[in-house]
Amino acid sequence: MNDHGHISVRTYWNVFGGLMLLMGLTIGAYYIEKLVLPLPEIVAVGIALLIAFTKTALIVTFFMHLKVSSRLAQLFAASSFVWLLIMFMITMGDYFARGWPAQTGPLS
Amino acid sequence: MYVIGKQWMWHVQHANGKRENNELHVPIGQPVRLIMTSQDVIHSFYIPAFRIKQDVLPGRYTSLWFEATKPGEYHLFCAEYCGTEHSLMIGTVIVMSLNEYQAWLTTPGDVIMPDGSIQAGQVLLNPNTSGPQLGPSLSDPMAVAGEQLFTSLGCAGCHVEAGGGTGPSLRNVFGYTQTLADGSTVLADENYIRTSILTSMKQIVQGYQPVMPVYEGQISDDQLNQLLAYIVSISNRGGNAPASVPVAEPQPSPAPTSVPAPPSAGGPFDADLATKGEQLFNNLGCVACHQDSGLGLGPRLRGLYNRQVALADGSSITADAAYLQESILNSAAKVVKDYNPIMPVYQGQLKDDEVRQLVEYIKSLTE
Amino acid sequence: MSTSAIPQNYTSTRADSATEWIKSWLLTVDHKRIAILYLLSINFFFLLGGLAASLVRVELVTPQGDLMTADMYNRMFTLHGVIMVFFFLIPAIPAVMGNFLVPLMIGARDLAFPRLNLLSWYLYMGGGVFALVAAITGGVDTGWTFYTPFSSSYSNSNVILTMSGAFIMGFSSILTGLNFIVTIHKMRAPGMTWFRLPLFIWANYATSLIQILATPVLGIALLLVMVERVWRVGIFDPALGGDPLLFQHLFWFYSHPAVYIMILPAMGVISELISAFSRKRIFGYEFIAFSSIAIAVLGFLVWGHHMFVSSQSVYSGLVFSFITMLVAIPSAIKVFNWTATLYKGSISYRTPMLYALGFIGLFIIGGLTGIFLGVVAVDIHVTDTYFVVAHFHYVMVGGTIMAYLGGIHYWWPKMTGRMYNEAWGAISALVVFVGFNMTFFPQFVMGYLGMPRRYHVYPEEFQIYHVLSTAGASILGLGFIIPIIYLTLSLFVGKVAGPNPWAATGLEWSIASPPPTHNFDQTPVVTEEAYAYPEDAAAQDSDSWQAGSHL
Repeated sequence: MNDHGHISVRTYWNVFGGLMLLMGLTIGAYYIEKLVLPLPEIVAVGIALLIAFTKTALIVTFFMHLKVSSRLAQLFAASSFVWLLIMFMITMGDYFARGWPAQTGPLS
Repeated sequence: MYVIGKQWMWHVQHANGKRENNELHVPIGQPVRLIMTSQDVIHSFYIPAFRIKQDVLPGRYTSLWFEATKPGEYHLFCAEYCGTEHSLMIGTVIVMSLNEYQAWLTTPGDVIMPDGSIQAGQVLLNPNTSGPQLGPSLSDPMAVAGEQLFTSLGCAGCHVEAGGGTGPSLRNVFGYTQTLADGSTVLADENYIRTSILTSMKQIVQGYQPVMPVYEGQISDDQLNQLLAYIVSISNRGGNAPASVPVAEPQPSPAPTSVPAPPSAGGPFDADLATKGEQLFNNLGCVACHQDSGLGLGPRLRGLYNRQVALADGSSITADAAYLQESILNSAAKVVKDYNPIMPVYQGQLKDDEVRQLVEYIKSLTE
Repeated sequence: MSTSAIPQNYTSTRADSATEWIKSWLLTVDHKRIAILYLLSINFFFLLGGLAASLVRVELVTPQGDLMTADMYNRMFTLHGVIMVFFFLIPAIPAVMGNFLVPLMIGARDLAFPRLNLLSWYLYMGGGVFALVAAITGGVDTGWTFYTPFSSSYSNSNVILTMSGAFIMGFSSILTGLNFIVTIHKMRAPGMTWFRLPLFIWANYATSLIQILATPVLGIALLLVMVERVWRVGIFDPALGGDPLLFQHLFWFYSHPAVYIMILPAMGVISELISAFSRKRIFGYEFIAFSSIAIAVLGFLVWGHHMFVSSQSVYSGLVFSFITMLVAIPSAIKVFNWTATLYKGSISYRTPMLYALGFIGLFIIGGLTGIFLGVVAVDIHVTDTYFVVAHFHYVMVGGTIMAYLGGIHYWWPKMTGRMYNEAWGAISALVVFVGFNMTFFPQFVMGYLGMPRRYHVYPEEFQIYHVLSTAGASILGLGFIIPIIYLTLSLFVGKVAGPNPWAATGLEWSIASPPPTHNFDQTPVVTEEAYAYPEDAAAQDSDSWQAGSHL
């Protein structure tokens, strides 16, 4: 696997710093949402998910050497996120659509 | 009709107050709508002859409708595996002509209990482990029973019908779109009403404080259905009761009887703190139970300070500032006679000066 | 196990002592030996699951619960489901035949990660140990679907043990899939382009995609239920603030692609069998190859069809129903292509072909009833009844198990160097076919009439169907036991098979039976298409046919 390319130690440290920063953001977002600015739940969850996604992307790209791997490996890794998105979107579709009136009958 | 599924039986409440277990009587030719919930795990209400099935979930209502066309008796199955006696959770759907149905609806009947015995006129109401409750198989119409609950549980204290109370008026709520605190809108259907009663903090209506007490675990599913029936009945979009079933006239709520106040000693209080205490008293929801009318879940607090109070254990104590403080922080220590020990514990939830403000406010409540 | 007639092969060991011999098998990294290890352990679990099924069926002969208590019955059918799904059907064809054949078919020396392969087997056994311990110490009574809040808050049985077993087995599945994907991408012999691969490889590739994408979701779903059970965190139980439907979404997001894990390799086997026993190139090779991938992808989008009556939103239900219709199309494409392959082929009715033909018929019934279930209005009536039970047994038993048996028989000479007794093979294939239909066809009828699933006692009007079904089950059970006997016997007294007893195409038939440990003496160079049977193969065969020929 190391015959593909090389990621320098400095990059590793930078990514680590970035991850720590994002962790701080997560904690900060919690306190801001609790104390300063109440947000609709979906926005708060969306922000948390975005931060988590960024962290995962950093780890996968640099720590797991995806950046210096073949296109095929990158495709497989990216597709796993696509599948995760499929699961989230269709499941959330159910949750959103639950309130939609559907059962019209003689009594509703 | 309201259906409650539980391990391992079905309980049905008809709108006029008739109840039955493991059976469902319906008239021919009338569309019937079932509003169903479960008390524990997921069940499924399945009538093969009618080709209908709907899972019955805990924590929410699901609904089903059908119109029976042929008289007879048909199987009712539970179609979602729910534990040991899933196979025994079967019943009968009895389709009758309209006249027979009317007659059946208005007579307390024999009910076959889950264990096979026959109870005349009695139905297992709340068969959970902490003491099954028998009730009449023909009781007050659901909307009337719901209205009685509405008063006795203290809902009327905040949800003033004319508006202007701590909580929104519930007239014309069911079936209309509500705007919530975060700006979103939601249709007030059965599930909305249920969530609002049981765990109101999940959906607060815009313009109101999140002070409604949580009723989860405090009322049974059939009481919840009665409250729902009442709230549906006071809305223009509550649907029409079948013309042939007499619609119960909502009886006027009993005028609050004034509780004769024993002579109170009263005492001096700090007006500033008392004003702040009054705000807290409303915001924290104390007002919902400790109603001035004396009809709430908790005792009336007007004139309480420095009065003799009879406790549940038979002893008597003077309601001084120390007693008031203790009652707020850890009410279970000394429960007043004739009241249930259901007051939430505020120890750790209130700061010391907030407790002082509440005590001063209570002191300020003179006759 | 080797005799003088069979050359040195992967099963022979230069072991000085018994422990050395055991170590050479239990610490092997040879994909063929691992396949044999899987064969033995999978068959053990199959028999265990079959035993549970027999007890269930015997109980159901009478409407009353006279053989066992309700609790015992619930544990029995759960055991049957858990073992059959997680410890038999999911691994069966990929782990046994895939492990053995994938490197052979592509001309490789072994899989890409041989030690990971061995780890897969140990994880499978580990998971199996958990499941066995759970079964022995009282069992689990939630049904193999573990619906919440029953499994997370109300069941008093070994939920966590069983779920741990399934969780560990999941890793076995993921690692096997990973191994196959890398092997197929990277280790094909020179000249073996993608479109020269045997269709069994395409099928296993699609299966492996599903395995690595779907199984983690099951792992998380089970883990969350365990967390809720132990620490009472409100995830799925409404009383704790959770949503019961969330579990169903997470569970079925895996479990629907899981059924495609079960059927896709089976379809791959059938492609091999149909081609070999029609002596003809597969019709529509590219279509079958792409349809495998299409099934794998579309299979991820249809999980909600298990939840039409679960109070998920009606609009979601409609979307899922529509996509369910779409996912049937690639399967239908395969069936049409197999049928077209048979047309004007020189058909030889040997045991593997009997299983393959049985598969096509039974899979059509199973697949079509799946479409019936995909229509929301019909599903409302028949879901959670025996109709669904019949449907999935038609595809799982009539489909996957028939293909498994057909494949075992077809590649038995390759794996063991011996031929089985053909007469007994044909008899048992017939017994399985008759017994299977007698067991499960009445279940369609009684499901439609309203008989619900997982019922220990039932109304009397359904008894006739249950009696028929149990009678069929006893025949079916016999049909499964007979092969065990004659296949084992063949190891000792079977005719020695040469490298290519079926005169089939494919790299695996170009080496000795059983193969040497290193597979190929020289890396093969592939110049022909897959299934390159000569045009006049039928005529050639009939000219060269002699009594006693395998075809």
